[in-house]
Amino acid sequence: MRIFTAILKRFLQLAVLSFLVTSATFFLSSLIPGDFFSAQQLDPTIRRQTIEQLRHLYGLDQPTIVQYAHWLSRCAHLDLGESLFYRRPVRSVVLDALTKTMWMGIPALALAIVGGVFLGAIHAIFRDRSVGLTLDLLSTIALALPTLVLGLAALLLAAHTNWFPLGSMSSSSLQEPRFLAWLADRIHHLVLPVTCLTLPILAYVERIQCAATQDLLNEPYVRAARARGLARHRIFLRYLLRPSLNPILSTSGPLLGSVLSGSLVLEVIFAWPGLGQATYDALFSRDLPLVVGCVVGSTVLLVAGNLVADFLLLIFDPRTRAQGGAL
Amino acid sequence: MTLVTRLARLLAIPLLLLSILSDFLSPNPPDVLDLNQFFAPPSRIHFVDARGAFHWRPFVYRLELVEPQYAQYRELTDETYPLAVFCGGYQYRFLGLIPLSTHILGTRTAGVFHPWGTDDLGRDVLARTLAGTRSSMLVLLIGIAIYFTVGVSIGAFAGMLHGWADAVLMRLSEFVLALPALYLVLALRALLPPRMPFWQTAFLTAATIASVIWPPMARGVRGLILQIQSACYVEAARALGATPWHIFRRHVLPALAPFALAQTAVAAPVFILGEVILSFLNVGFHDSAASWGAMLHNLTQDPRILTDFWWNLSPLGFVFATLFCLNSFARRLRRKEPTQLA
Amino acid sequence: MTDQTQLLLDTGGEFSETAPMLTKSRIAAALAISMLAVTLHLCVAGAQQKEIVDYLVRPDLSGARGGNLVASVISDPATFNMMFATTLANGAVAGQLSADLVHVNRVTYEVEPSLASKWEVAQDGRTYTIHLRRGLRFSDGSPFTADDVVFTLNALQDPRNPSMMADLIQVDGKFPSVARVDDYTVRFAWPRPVGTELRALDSIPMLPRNRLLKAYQDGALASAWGPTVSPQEVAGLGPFRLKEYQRGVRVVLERNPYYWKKDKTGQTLPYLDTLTFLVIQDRNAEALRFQAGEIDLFDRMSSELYASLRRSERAKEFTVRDLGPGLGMDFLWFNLNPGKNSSGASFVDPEKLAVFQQAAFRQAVSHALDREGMVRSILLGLGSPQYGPISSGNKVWYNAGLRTTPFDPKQAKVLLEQTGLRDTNGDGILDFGASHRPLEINLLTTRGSAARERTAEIIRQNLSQVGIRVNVQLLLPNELASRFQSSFDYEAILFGMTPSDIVPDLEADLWYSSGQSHFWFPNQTKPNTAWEAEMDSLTARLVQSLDQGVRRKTFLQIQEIWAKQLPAIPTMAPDILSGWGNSVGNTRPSILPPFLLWNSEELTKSTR
Repeated sequence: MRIFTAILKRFLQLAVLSFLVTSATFFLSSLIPGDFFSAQQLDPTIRRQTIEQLRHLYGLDQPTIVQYAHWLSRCAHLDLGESLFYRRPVRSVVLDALTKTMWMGIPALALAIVGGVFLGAIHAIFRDRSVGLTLDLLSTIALALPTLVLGLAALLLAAHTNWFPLGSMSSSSLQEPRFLAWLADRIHHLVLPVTCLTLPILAYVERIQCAATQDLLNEPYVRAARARGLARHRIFLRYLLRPSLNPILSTSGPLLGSVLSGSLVLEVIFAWPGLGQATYDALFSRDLPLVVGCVVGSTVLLVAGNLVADFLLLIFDPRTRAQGGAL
Repeated sequence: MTLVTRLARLLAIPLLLLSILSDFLSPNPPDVLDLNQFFAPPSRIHFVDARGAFHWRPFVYRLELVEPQYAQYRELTDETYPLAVFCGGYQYRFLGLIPLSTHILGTRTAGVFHPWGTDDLGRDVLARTLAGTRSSMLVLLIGIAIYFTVGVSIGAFAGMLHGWADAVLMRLSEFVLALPALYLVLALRALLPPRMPFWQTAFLTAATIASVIWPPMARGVRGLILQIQSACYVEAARALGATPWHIFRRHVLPALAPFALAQTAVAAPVFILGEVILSFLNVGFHDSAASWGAMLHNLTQDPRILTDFWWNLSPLGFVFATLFCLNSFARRLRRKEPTQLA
Repeated sequence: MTDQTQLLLDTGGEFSETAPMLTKSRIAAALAISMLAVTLHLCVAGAQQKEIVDYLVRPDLSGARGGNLVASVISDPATFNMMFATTLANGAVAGQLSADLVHVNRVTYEVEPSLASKWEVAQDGRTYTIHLRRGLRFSDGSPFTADDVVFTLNALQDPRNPSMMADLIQVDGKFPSVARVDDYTVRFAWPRPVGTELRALDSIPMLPRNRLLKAYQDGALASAWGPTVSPQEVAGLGPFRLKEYQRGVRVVLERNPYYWKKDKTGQTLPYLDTLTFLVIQDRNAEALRFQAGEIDLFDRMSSELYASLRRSERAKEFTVRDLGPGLGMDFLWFNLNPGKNSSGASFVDPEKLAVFQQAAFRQAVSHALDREGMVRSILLGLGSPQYGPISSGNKVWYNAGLRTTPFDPKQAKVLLEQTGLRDTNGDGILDFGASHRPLEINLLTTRGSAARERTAEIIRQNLSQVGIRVNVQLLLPNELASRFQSSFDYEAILFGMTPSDIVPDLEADLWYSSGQSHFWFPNQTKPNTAWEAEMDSLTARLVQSLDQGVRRKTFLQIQEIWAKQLPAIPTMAPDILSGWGNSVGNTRPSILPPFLLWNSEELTKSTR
């Protein structure tokens, strides 16, 4: 029951969020003169009339309030309008882009969490040995290297060594490949962006995990286990792993946020046609419906991710169930 | 003290000083173009001239553009330009007030000695990188000022005035937290009119970033206030007839300070990084303003910078060093913070 | 049989008595059979003749069939109907699927027959009888007739279909008339005689009436062949037809089996089996993939890319070439509009306007600009300084004797002094007006083009050397457009134009003082200055004259007036830099769009 109310609450949050976000975007963009077709006005061979006709076709000649009202009414049918640049329904553009971002984001997140958890635990356990100190330095360095630096360096590496393809999602030489070949090619293209996305997040997770594990190491039951002579790895797996997941899952918000932000920068660098690229392009071509759609899309992704994290928290940590959920 | 902390301490003070001393440390002004010396490599320092004579004072040669397409230069060995310490050079205003013209190292003629080479329009890279500390520091200072003020105020309002104000503000913070940060910042900044004036860009960039990251501060402050308010000594003060303002000023604020400062230290690197990313994505500072992010933006325009003209990458090192210091500093402060708020 | 007859005739009388077979009846029978055979042959031939396709033969062309050529576009095509393509990228793809009546050869700039095999002009100088090639079929097999031409040109004129091409075939705001004469002839008439003849029909795609009539009647022609259309629906007369389209990934075109051009060996074109367009939004990624050999064609690369490609190790596997200055160039102009906005305030400060309106001021600014330095540092030497309204890359119409304003800050200062500007307070900035305010100008330009932003920066520095302070402000192109076309709220703008063809008639709206595109002061009710009045009369002569010599001379004069008065100060024109893989043959690179693909039917790809 609590789970259902939690999900319902998240959906409500999503709806209100989307409303606020789109309103803000609409009115913010109304501050600036010029719209999508202003650029075409610059061509001296095109009649003003043609531009006006196009404007009328897309409803851009009406005041912002009216456009906004139209948008709202269409939203009731989950119709986000049509992108001016792609001439396709915004919903399909955003869904396409979302899927492509997730191709990059989900492996990065998974690797970052798994890697971070293990490395963080090792860091905490061997805190004063050389392993721990090295990890300390490495994680600080990794946190200080923004994804854009990593991404640019990776692209340079790809260009010079030719080990990896240079951006985009698939090779052109592959014409109608079979599934396995297609998958291998996709993974080949994913290696560099995913690595760049994973490293800072891994460092972040590692940092949290280290702190959490450190706290746990002082817990009486762990001390008791060690006194009983249990092997280190058994202590880790049985006693430390599950409770230490709590802080990580609780910070799922910022974690997912940094996945999205990092992927935006990397998509621009690697020409990966995901949500970040789409937003960036839409902003610069003043494709307003698409901008709004992209921001809503990323919000949905974030909220959905938070929901999954809450869910996982309920599963992994029985204490939260007792407390009525961490929601 | 760990290696990390030691390194951070080592780097922190010089970085801070750089933004004040940037003009003093660079032999050339950061915004003067030289269309005959674009992408010039770092000046080579010689002791022995072309005729084989040894000079006690090191000197440099002037460069001549041989091939514009590959930015190839050759040194003109007929004239030497000796380097001098504390020499006179271009005029600048120290701290914006005192007009000086002394530089730590340079030649008497301007535009010859480029310790770190030049960029695509012939501007001195060292000068621009050092000047970049200014824009980053500006965004940082404005940003944390806004962050601190807004965060503490909202948190204080929520904490002190219970009831619907509290509920509304907390819901608002939840909503902002639930939004994807960079998307929102990018959208906000891109939709606002791009302003060239330095101060306006700095303010807009800082404000945009601050408007998205204030929730943790506000929530923390609010939580702390609620805790304090239920403490005995506050109840006692209230029983004695103290006004809410008095309680706030004398009891709440001092207890808030450590947390607020720690939280601000955590947010500081976000401003630097945010400014770099926004300028890199072409919505922050522009190229003419000598910001690190804007200098890095050129990487996307001209891939030769990565291979042939690597001296333009100096902002990367500075970005990394600054983030490194700020992160470690924040971490140390965080460790000292009371844990009931973790 | 013929041999036997020959034998019979040769051996004549010798064998006549020894050939008992040759009786009269048999000869008659043989003759009858041969007549029958000949008649049958003629009938069959006649029937076949109805099927004969009027191919366009290229006696200079030869090549090997086969291969897949890979090009790239910067965005997904919004439509596969060339008539509604609004971007160059879209046009690059859609243009391969259709053909025009006449085509401008992108290298010789001459008008050549395309779907029209020949045409005659009537006495009135404005009516053309256009003869279409016979027997041609669309890519789906349906026949091409005059009905399709009439349908296309009527659809173009229909205000329900907002097409950019509609503006190109208007003369004085009126459309031409088109009427069918018979299956393969149309009568086409301009509102008045034009010096460019049929040139405006270049690239206007002939649409299949059968397929699109319903969409047209429903008013949905513009969206009929959108991105979700199934490939079989798209029928055209171009060298290729649509095979497959994956959103955000690629467009694959395959050879049109009904294409109507042949090479000198009689082989039908195109040579290529398929033409693939990869959708690559990032120019750097595109460059890297070109270097890696994944893409075969790369047109209009930046100077930096060109420089690094020339030096690349793989230089042996591809060719890059500098084709000389293109048609596009950037202009710096001042707002010369003395009007007032809706709230009664002048668009430009009147005292500043008084400064801008002096030709000596504009000439001074032009002398202050270091164009050579700009070309050297921004374009790496791969461009040319410009001093007139059209680029020197337009070899046909450019006035080579134009007066130039070379980089001369001293001369600039002298000229500025002549306009009355003095530095009264010694701060290094000239002062103007009654109250001696410092001359500070806001320069607007677009954000997102590195070359233009750098140009603005150089302009700022150059002008500060002569005492003018410039503040550069960056706007998105849409905002900039509305500033100088709607609100006229600006002081100076740096922006570029790229004409799509070499003839100046296309930009008549720019030369006329009453034109919307007369950007420094549009929509004048009567010419504001004497030189603008002169330009008006010259422009009228240009567009109305039919004599090519007169047209050319007139336009040379227009360029001279511009170079002297400098209503907009030209800066530089970048060279067109293109590259292609060495396995691509028969390339004829052009500075006009679609650059390397305008002769796609001629291109070959050797598969090694």
